[in-house]
Amino acid sequence: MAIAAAETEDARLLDPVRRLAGRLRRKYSGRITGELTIPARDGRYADIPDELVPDLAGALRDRGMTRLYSHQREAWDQVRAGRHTVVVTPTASGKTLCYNLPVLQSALTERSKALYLFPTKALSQDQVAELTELNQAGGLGIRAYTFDGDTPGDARKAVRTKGDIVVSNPDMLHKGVLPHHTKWAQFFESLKYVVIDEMHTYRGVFGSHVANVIRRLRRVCRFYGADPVFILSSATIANPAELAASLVGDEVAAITDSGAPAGEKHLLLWNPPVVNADLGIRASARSQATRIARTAVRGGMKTIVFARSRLMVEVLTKYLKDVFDRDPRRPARVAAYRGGYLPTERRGTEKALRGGDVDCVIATSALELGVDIGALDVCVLNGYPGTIAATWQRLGRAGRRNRPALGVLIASSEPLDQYIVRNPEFFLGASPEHARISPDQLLILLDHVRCAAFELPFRRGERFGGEDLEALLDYLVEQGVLHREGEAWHWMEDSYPANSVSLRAVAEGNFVVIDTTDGARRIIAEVDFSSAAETIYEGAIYLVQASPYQVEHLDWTGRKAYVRETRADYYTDAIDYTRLKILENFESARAADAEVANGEVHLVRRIPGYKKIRYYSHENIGFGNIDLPDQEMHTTAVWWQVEPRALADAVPGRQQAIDGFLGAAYAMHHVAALRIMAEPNDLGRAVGDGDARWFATVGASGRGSLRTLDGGEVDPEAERHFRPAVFLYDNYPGGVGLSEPLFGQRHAVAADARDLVAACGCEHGCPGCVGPILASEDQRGFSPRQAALTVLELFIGDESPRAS
Amino acid sequence: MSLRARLDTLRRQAGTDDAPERGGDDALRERLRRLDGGRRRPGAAAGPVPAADVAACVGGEVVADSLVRVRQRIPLESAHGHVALGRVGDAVALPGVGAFPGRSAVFIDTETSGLAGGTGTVAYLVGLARLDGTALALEQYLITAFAGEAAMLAAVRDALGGDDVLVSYNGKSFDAPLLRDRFRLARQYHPLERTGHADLLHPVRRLFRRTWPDCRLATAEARLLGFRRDDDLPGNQAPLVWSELLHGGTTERLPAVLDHNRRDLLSLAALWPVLGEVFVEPARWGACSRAAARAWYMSGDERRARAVLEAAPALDAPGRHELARLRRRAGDWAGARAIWQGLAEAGDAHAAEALAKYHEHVRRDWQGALAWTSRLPAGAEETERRRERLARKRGRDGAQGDLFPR
Repeated sequence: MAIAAAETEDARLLDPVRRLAGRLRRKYSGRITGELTIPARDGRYADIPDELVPDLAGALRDRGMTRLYSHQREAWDQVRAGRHTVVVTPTASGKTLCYNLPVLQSALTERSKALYLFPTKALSQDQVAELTELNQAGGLGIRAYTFDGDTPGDARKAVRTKGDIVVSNPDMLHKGVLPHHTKWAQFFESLKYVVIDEMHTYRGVFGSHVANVIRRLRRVCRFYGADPVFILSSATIANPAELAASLVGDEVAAITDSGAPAGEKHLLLWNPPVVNADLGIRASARSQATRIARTAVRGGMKTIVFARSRLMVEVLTKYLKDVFDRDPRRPARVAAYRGGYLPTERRGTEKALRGGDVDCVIATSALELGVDIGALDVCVLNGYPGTIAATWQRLGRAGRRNRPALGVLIASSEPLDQYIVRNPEFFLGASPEHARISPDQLLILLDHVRCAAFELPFRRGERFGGEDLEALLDYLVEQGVLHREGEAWHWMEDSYPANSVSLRAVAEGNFVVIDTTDGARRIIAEVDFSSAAETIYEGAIYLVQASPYQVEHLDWTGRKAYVRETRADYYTDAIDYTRLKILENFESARAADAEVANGEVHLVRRIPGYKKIRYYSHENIGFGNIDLPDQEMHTTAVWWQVEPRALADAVPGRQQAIDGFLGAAYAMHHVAALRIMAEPNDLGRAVGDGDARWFATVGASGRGSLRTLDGGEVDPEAERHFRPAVFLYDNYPGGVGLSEPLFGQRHAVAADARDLVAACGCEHGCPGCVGPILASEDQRGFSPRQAALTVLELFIGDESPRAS
Repeated sequence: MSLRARLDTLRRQAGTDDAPERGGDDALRERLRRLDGGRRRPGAAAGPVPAADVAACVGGEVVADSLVRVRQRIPLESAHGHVALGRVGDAVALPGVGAFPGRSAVFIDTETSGLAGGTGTVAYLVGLARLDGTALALEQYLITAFAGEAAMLAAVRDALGGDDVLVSYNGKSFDAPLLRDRFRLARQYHPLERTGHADLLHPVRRLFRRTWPDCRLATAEARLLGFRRDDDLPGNQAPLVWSELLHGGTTERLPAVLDHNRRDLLSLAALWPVLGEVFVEPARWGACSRAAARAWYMSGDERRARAVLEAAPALDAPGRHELARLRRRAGDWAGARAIWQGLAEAGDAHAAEALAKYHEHVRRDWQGALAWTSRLPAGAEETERRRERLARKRGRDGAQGDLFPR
């Protein structure tokens, strides 16, 4: 027995992943701010259901499956009982079988049909490939087809009439299927299952749209006498049943216990070392990621590195290829994987990964979704992915069934990253975020009421969404879009409404960036409407793959930016004036001298000009004017204010107060995004008086100043009532429901921000806490970081403020 | 805070009255306007126009709730453009389309609420016409409200017999699928699946695609029928007239839509016999002879195909190849050779290849075949093989040639 134990001990030490984890812990303990070891877990199994069609059971046996994981069986039982079901399981736990089994069973026994929805085309293709494989293994004769923008016109009819399983995406359902549902009559009549994979991607604006597309789908199904059962699958989020229920519009049973076995997992939180203590500058995450990946690959471990941008993928790939792929005659050991590559190229990389032919892959979130690449040993995250859920999903890429895996999360210098690594208990202890949608967001709902009315006339008494449907319909009648006749509302406009509703973007439509270098006209990028004004103004330097392009002409109405390659040694940074007016206060709360409120605001954004900033030295080398229309928006916001007297007592001088509010806003913006599972871009921030008279901005001098929208400066000392507020607003017209949960977390947001700023290693402020400050700011006589801390303490309103 | 509470607050700010049921709507509308911004069209909908008023306006009768039928007989002695309608009954078969269905032909044209397609588009006017004794009998079904649609679809279904063949212009892509969708939406059995359908856009496009700026019906009318619609309502205005009727309560432009539809039907009827002529003498009508010949050939009539090409005043290279091919198939080797010769001398490789084959397989003239082969671009596998084969044959026969000089 003793010998056996020693052998096990040896095996433990010999395992390369454990050895690497141990070595990193010993050598770089100063950089590791937190760690977690998740013990291995045995599989839990259940029998293959007796009623399974013999052919199907045979197909499973041919693939070596004599039993199911417990969650697969549980899904079978729920779905067969006619209940909508969501399966929440980690990567590579056999989730596809959870929906494929009941779907194939019914297709074989009742010739029923199924619709599979995936968020991307690539995943659809994977799925069809897998179904075809299973189908061939069992000689089942089930036809699965993809139906998306790439499906040729002459094949579409066959898909509609012959497909047992149609694999598509929400956009295609919205634009190509539902408005033509009569062509799909046969399909809808026998539609029994709708599968929605990667459900966690349907959140925020996109999710709110998709929930409405599903409302329309179910409405059309009812017309054909069908009431399909929804089977959803999701990565780990805090509220799978809730999200599934709001997407489907019905109760959904949640299966959250995976029966799949998992190997031991080590997770390290890693903060790069400080290289300039004065400015709080740390070594780059990139340098750390490269080093760890290098060590892992040298040690024979299959490694994946996740980067947050396509550009970073390219940079890391180059660095690692320089080490491992120097000999061009030998097959490549390092590969890159990101959006923008051709599908064939991506399929090739996926295959090489599955086959173990590649030792290291550098990827964007494109690989976070369920693309099958087999299991890997080490996962390095170059920067925090933005949410706890996405982090776990990416980490899940490493880990084979019976072997240990290592994940390393490397923080960048951004505040969110710094917050995460400096507060490891937040990440390690917290449950993943709630994913929220707001399907009744008025504009989104109205868009889909339009589309639904086009598909089938609305009848009196029908329900669609949580708002007063008749009021919405009457509104559309008033617009001349619908015609009310007796008990029904009919479409009457000469248009195809789905074409003007994009599920993924704000209503206004995206801009394309067109390269005109050498007389060519090549589309090289797409820019969201919401960020167009600040990224592709005339004169802007726009970066694609690290190559600089200069915007020569912006066609605002045509949504086009014409650019030309340039060799500029500077980049450009837009100056952003945001003026906010509080329209209505829904609810508010007091904490000592602070008041926090949630309500509706009207905001005007103006981008009056831009700065040219030289690379490396970061000096300001010039200004340019921007002439673009103001952007107006009604939305919801949460704001924090302090009693003027208390503010005057706590902060000496209004200048300090302004800098304090700006710094606090910067830190709060980032931690708030973390708290409510939003991208930082989904939220906007502003500091102003709430009455649209003035707002605060960081001027050319680096100091905060008060301005009017026309750029005129306001003297803070001359203000009679000096009552600045930090606003965090929902960056979508009408709001998508971000401010309500934010208000609920108001205390946590201020407290998290305080912790972030208090724990920062810098002296007076840095991009990791209150935002970039210039070195010369030391001369202003106070520490912007301290000012922000004071303001944050006032927001928290604790009886005993922390000493710092 | 609940939505209701938010609405109430907004209502208070807007200063509206405090009746909760009505007020909620107003507040919602107010929110929508603020968010939706400026897309609103002014004016509330007027009340519905009684079907009887519409019937009076267009000279029809109310045959069901919200359904008006207009009947008209156009004597076959009259003309449409310069085409005597009497010719319709004698129309001949069109290659690629089929024989003229005679009394089973149902000319069909619809006017719709939109041109975008999809389930939100409704056909509010369906015009049908067929030969009936000494006249062309027209029936137009016009709905005056959505309520009339089911009755209209039923009437259309009843008007179509089992042997009928629809004759339309672009109806295979537009009118028929649209009606099929409407039948499905009305949960009615739809007759269009089993009904034959001749879409005259297809032969027109085949014949004139290369020579006309477009193949719209108006263009075909002007160029083939000598018919011009100077006072006509443009087809793309039809959706607006429907909206004017429903939304504005006005019937002002309805007679114009019915006129437009009637002219479409007459043009359809007149088009068939004229297309019959075009296929026989395409050049005279400015049509593409090669396309006409191709249509004849595909329908199995090689003689006509050849005749069309023989008569063509100026054939392009593919047309001449086609003619050579047809001559060869008819056994006219000399005629075919004459064409190839002309083409090959102008540097046409396909013609040179045809001549090489001709000399090798028909004339068994290896020397001649080699001469033409030498004009083919070198390197192609087939050419090289031919060259070797011919050289071999020449070598063999050459030896014989010494023994038996020609």
